[in-house]
Amino acid sequence: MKKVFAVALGILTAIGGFVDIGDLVTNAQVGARFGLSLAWVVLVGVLGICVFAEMSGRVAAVSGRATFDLVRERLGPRMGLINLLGSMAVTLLTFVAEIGGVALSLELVSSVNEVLLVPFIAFLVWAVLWRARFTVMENVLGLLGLALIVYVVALWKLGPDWSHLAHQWVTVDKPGDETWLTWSYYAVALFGAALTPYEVFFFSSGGVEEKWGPKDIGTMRANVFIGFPLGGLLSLAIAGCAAVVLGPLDITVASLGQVGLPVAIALGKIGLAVALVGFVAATFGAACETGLSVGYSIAQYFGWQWGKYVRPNVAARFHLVLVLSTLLAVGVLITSVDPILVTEASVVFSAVALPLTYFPILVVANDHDYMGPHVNGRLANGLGTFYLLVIVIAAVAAVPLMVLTGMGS
Amino acid sequence: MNRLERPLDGLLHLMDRQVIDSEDLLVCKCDDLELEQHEDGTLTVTALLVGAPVWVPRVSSWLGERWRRLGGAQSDRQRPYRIDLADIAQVSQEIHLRRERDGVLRRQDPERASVRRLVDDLLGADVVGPGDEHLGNVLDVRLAPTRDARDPALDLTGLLVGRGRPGSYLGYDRSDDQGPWLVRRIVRRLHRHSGMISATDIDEIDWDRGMVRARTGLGELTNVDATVDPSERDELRHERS
Repeated sequence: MKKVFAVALGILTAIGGFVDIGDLVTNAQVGARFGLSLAWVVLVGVLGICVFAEMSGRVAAVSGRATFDLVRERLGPRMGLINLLGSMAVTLLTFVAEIGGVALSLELVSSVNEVLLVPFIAFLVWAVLWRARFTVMENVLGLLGLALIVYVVALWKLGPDWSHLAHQWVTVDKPGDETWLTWSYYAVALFGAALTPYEVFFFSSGGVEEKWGPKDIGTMRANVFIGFPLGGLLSLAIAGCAAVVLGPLDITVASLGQVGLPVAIALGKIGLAVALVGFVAATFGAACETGLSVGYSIAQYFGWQWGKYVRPNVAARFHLVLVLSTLLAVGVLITSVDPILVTEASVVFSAVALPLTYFPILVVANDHDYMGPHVNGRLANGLGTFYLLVIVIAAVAAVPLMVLTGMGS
Repeated sequence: MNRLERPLDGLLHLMDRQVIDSEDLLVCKCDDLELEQHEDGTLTVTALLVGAPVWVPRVSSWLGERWRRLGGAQSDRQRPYRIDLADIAQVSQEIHLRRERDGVLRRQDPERASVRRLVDDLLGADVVGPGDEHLGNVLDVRLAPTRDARDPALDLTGLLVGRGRPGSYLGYDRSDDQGPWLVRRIVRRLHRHSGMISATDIDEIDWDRGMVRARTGLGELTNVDATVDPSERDELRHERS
């Protein structure tokens, strides 16, 4: 019974944890402009994160080694360092975007300017990273993030023309006033939002924090293969709501308020309140995850003690990195840079940085020396190779598309 | 399984691995290996080396030089920390120490510097065969434990040589069933000219120019685990899982 509870809890937190500021903003933008014509990309992205997270979770469970241990062991100190710098630049960008996302969500509630809220939120994030137990942090924020299910309810309540939406989805029916180039740009952005590198840093390091062993592989797989796809369903619901409400009005999403608008129209104040709880929980949870990911990755590269499973004074350098990265995020946000803009950049650069960590994990997941009998099977390797190609193509195409489309404008 | 009790590859199995103390706390990474050159020319790994003096030059020699200049007045600027092989309980995917981490890292003793080399100095060195034929570069070092249990060390028994960069193997050379198929094919194709030189066939090592002179051509590359009885290896794998 306890086991069933653990699996259920893991799945629920995976659903809530999948959606972050990048998914909220990008899915709403895409829905408003392209309808559901990019829905296949979400599906490809969700399956991709399942493949990637399953491999890294399995490696963590069997060998006890998290992502950046393996990056350094397999690529050496030089490539490993370049990899670390690239991945940390993207993860810090995401961290800034998440804290900004919490601030924007709370601004919607309190009408206090987001820049004023930033220092308080950053302090809260740091306090959670410093004090809260790992499981408490993950479970509470993951479960509150489930409030975003309100988007599924809202879509149903809006009563759209389902056959039209399905037609748009299946036939990739892009609106006539958009070019294929901008469509491709948003495809890469959506892919990057679904497959953000920090999700895997956090997932594999979290496995080590929770002391997974080979017997936990089943639980881990249930979390991945049920939790993430249901999280992807939330993404699609957000895109669907935006398509139905914002699309016909020609609204392009440039603020978090616009992301919440469809829920307010469908379900009124109560619905909006629930959505805001979901926003705050999802972005706050992701802020904790990205913050920890920065500390985890740097400590793993240099071999320092990391993790919340030991007292902070035993992992002093790890906690110092957490303090410094939180201060850095505050520094960036009080320049009053638009967090939505930071988010848009972060999802695209996520796509660029992804191959750096995906490739070493794919190699190690095949190495008998680490994995013993738990090496990749045919299915994992078939999908793994397919996604290696997809990820490389997305990474190469991302920056040229960003330049050519002027960030999708 | 304890890798220190059987042959292993220096770069693949020791360097960049996590060092863990007796209380399961993380200590550092193994940044390089200390090589001691004996009078008869044979080489032995005697310790793990740790810290910026060996880590920074591995990232880039240019940065290594900048690192040195930043602290020219410090006498120990280029002396790395050292972990004696005797302090290592076992090597699996990690390196486990016999003792707690507090104070475990000590600076290398400067007195015997003349006989000390780094494995990293060997990695990437040009290998020249009989008749000045260029055979490739050193990719990794094959090591085997010495028989003396009181003074544990690892003898250098051979060099892995090929036309790539050290570490570019990703372990694919040494097992032919490691997937995924596409990656294996590409890596093995890139390394089709790789081979081995036994330590007894090394004529001389020119440390200043980074060159190894060999008496013979390249022999076939063997899997380090091939020296382990296959049934025993499977047993060990099960044991670990």
